[in-house]
Amino acid sequence: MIGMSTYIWRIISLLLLLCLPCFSLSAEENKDEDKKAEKIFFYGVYVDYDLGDLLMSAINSQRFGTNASIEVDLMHLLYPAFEFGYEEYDSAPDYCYNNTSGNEQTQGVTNDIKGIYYKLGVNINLLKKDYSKKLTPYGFLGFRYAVAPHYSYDIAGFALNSSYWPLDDSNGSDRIEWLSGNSKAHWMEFIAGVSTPIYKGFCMGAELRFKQFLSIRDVKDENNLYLISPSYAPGYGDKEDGKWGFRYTISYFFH
Amino acid sequence: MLYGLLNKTGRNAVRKGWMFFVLSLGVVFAFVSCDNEHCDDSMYCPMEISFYSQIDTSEKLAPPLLLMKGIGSDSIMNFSGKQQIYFPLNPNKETSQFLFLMEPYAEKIKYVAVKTDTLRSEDEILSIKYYLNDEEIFIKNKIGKAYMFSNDTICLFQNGNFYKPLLDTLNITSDLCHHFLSSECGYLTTFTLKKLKFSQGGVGSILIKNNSVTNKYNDRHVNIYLENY
Repeated sequence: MIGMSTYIWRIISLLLLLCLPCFSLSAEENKDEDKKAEKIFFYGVYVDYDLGDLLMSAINSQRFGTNASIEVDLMHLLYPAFEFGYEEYDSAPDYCYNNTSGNEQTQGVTNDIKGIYYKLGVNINLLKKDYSKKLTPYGFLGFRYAVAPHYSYDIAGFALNSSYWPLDDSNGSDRIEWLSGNSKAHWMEFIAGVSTPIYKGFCMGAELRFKQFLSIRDVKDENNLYLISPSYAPGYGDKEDGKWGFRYTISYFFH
Repeated sequence: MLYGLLNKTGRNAVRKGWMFFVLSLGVVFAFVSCDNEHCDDSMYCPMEISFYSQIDTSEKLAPPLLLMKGIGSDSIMNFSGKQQIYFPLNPNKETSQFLFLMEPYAEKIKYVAVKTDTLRSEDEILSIKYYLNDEEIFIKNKIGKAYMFSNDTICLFQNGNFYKPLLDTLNITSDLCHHFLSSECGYLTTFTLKKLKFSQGGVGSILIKNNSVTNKYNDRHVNIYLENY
């Protein structure tokens, strides 16, 4: 179970994120009257990069992630998007495996996950549209279908659970040997966010995401002796952990 | 005051810089304060046995004396008086073996000539020495009426007499599957029962009701119909 302090800190961070519209959108107040400019179908393309992933990699040395996306501005209303990313993570040291007495991180175990992921979806702009400008701020709701099609896992250092029977150390260790393989995961994401121009085509944005896990493929070895149920997927995180995600982007608008 | 001296572009830049700072705080607070996680799944896959009478197969029985010891383990499980028992299979091997120690059937009691030498002081017993075939033996373990002696003899004691228990070995053959659940839980070993058999065949007959042994709570697996009960 996630500790209460984690929930408290996440509520604080959510409140801070909700302050965002006060700063970004108020700075973009348009005092001009509504211009009855002609609406066109295609305004341009955003290419953005997630700075939040870089920040997370700097904070957590077990994790490296990077992702970018391409969004097309259609009528300042619909923004079809394609995201792609890569993540490496050793999730084992974060957990107290086989240690029910305290909160010490486990030593000597490995659960490495690495792979690429793709997300496809669309954002819908809910703000008032200014068709006279190519680049405008927008606040949106959106969704993504995501897939990590062929990511790899490496597991080592874990032992069989046996308090009654003596552990088998015939191979010099009571730990199960290194196991590796590939798996696949699908999930959905629901997004709320904003993006605002800051300087000559450059924009900054922030998104809050609610993730809904769909499936992750279990993997059996050829002898049916081992069944691996990966709990972590690159781009999603731990499927047993929180469902919230965050993206903080810098982008450039091509038109 | 300094903010008021800036032009529109400068004020916008300051507002955006403040937004960046607020967002960065949000990211940091959201993710650096995570607690370490413990395993929430049950990592115990016990096998279940229920005891019934062989004479009336619907009648549930609770053997008055039942001790089990896994061959390879040092620990003895005392299931005396229980109609339904749960115990762990060996995750390292496809065959788990358990020594069964029960009360013998009345017509099959064999007495053992264990002699005792009791040292008393008034009404207090100071020590008891045991002898078998004129050789002194010592108690290694005593559970209820079962005595385990240093020469590996096991006897039951009642009404001043030692007698041999009903001893048999239950051999359980199964397919194993080591299931990796997560980083906090590690491996869970589940079993698919294939064959159960008593070595001597003197305890009773066996029926496998459900061959899947998992961490599901309160599952039923095997019925044993005890002879002469």
